[in-house]
Amino acid sequence: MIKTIAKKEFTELLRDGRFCWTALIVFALLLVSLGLGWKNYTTVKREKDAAQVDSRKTWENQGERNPHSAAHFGVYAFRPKMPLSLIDSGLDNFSGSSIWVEAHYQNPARNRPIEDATALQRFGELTAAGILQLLLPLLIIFLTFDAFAGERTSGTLRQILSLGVPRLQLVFGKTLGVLAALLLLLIPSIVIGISALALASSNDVLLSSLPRFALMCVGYLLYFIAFIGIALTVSAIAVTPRTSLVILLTFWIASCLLIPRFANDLATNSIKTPTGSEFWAAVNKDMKDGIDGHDSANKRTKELEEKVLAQYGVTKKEDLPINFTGISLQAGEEHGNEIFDKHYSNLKTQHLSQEYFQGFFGVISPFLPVRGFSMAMAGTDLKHQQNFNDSVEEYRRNLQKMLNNNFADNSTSKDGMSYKVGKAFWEKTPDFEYVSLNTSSAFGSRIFDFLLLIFWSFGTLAVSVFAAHKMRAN
Amino acid sequence: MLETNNLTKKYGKVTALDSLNLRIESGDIFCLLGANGAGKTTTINLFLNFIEPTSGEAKINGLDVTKNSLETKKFIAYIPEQVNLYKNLSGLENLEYFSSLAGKDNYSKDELRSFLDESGLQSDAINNRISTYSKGMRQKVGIALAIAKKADVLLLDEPTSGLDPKASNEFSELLTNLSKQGVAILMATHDLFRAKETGTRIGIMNCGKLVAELNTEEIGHSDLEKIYLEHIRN
Repeated sequence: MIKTIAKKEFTELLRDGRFCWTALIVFALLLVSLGLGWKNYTTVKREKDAAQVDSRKTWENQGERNPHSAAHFGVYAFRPKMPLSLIDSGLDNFSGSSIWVEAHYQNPARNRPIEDATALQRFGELTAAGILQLLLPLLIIFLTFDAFAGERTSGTLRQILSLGVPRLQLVFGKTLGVLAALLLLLIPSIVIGISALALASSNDVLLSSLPRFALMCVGYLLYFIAFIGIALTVSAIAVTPRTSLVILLTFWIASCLLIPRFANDLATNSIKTPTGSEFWAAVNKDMKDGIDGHDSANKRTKELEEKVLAQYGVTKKEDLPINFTGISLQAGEEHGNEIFDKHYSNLKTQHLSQEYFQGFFGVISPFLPVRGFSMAMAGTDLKHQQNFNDSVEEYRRNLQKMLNNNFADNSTSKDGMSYKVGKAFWEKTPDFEYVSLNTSSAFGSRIFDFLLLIFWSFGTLAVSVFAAHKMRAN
Repeated sequence: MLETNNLTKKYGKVTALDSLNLRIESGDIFCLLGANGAGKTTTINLFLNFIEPTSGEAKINGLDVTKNSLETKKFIAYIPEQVNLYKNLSGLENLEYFSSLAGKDNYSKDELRSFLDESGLQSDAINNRISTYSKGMRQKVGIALAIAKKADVLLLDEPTSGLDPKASNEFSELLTNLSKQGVAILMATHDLFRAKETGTRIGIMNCGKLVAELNTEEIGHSDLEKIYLEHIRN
């Protein structure tokens, strides 16, 4: 019986001109956004790949130089564009796309694409994710708001109920009918999405992206079911289709526009992060005075010198078999690392707390969990950004250590800064290669959002069955 | 078989139906007459369990409708003043949909077509969308559904109001045929002429009460009108 009801709903939708036109428009928008996403992905990826190669080439061809000068000369690490960013660009436009790797400082990611954008682009980029998160629910509302209310007004509801149709089957039949109509639009989009992905990336990138893509699809499916459940519930309760539509549009505005905005403002206001200048002032203070404030830079250098002299059994720096400057530089790095660990991990915790804080609003808005989940699967969320920052920092620390050790071991204090190395050594230094978070840790970080989506979809379907049982025939 | 025992429905202080006792056997065509608001539709809604009785009970084939909401509906076919169908589906598709929802999902297209034929729908209209149907044609789809459902009981709520005399006559003939096959029919109507012609028994309602019960064979047309007006006036 469920199948019969679903089939009839589906047939009716297809014969309804309104559905065909709106679905066509949404489909066209999806196509355009996927096309734009694909073009943006391929362009940015090409540019970043080229820039990364360039940066390395410049590093290797910097000529004869003291290792510490080279550390100041620096090298760039570019955050690779994730393949699924062509569907959901997430925070990509708002987070830095490259980090300058240099001595003494853990730099933040800079060059945020939004800085180059016009004011209009701030309004929002046309992405497939945006359409799926904002417009598809609207389409679902237009398809479902009169599911019961419309049949009540036209009298067919009395007719059906006089036949003794179990209401559970009625709800499930209608859900499946709407879902089938949506799939008519979504399946071609999925095929086009995968084709765009295949065109834009190599085979192994495509293969490794497929599990993320599949999970993303599951997330969106749950989101759509949630909206169908809500629309059916309201349609069963509301007396006229008109009331049903007004209630549903209000819900859409609240859950897709107002609550996310409000949650964001509340999160940033309740969990304060330092401004850029406050952050660096605190870092510099710790650098000068030591983490506990009693361990000044001068005092540290003096203690280190005494320790190294004692270690080699000499009394003067000039008698050391190694270059004390190199040792002191590395000690400085390590001291700096502790300070950066402290400040950056604070910042990271604050950012994550803001995100968790916002995440809780997912209980009243299904838009929030699907947005977070989709971004995470696309690899464009905060967690992925932080993972990139962390791996660049790990690379920086290894590189600094290698440079400083080379400096300390291959020259003596008498040489001062005159020691130089050339291309052979630069080629031996590691190149930056970023391996993104794997699918399971990306999924793990968003398990809360995923559970919320399950809660929304099954919860609203259960509520709609309940509402259908309470529903009046006229 | 339809039966009510002291069936009462109150909306606050208003009594829409007051201790109704009815018994309609198979083969009976019971016509309920009465002014608007007399309680005719309330009676039908109670049989359909669309509303809960305040007290008393309504039974179909011996089963209480409130306790056996889904089972009792298997026996009923319901034809309101306007048979409501899906306008984007054809007559045949509507019949197919409704009869499979009624649990009869194994009819072939030919069988369904013959039901529509039996109910008098023009065969060239069967595949047209309902939006092109006249009222009489919709009522015929309703009858076809009753036939397809093999209903024991027909609940009719002013089914012929607004039909032209010919269509109304055809409709009555269909009812007579069904009653001969043993269907129990309860019809709420304003049409005294039709009630006398088609009905086997007549009930007159006023302000929620059944005030008179007559056998149509025992009275003439003019008698009926007189009796009706007398009861309504009070």
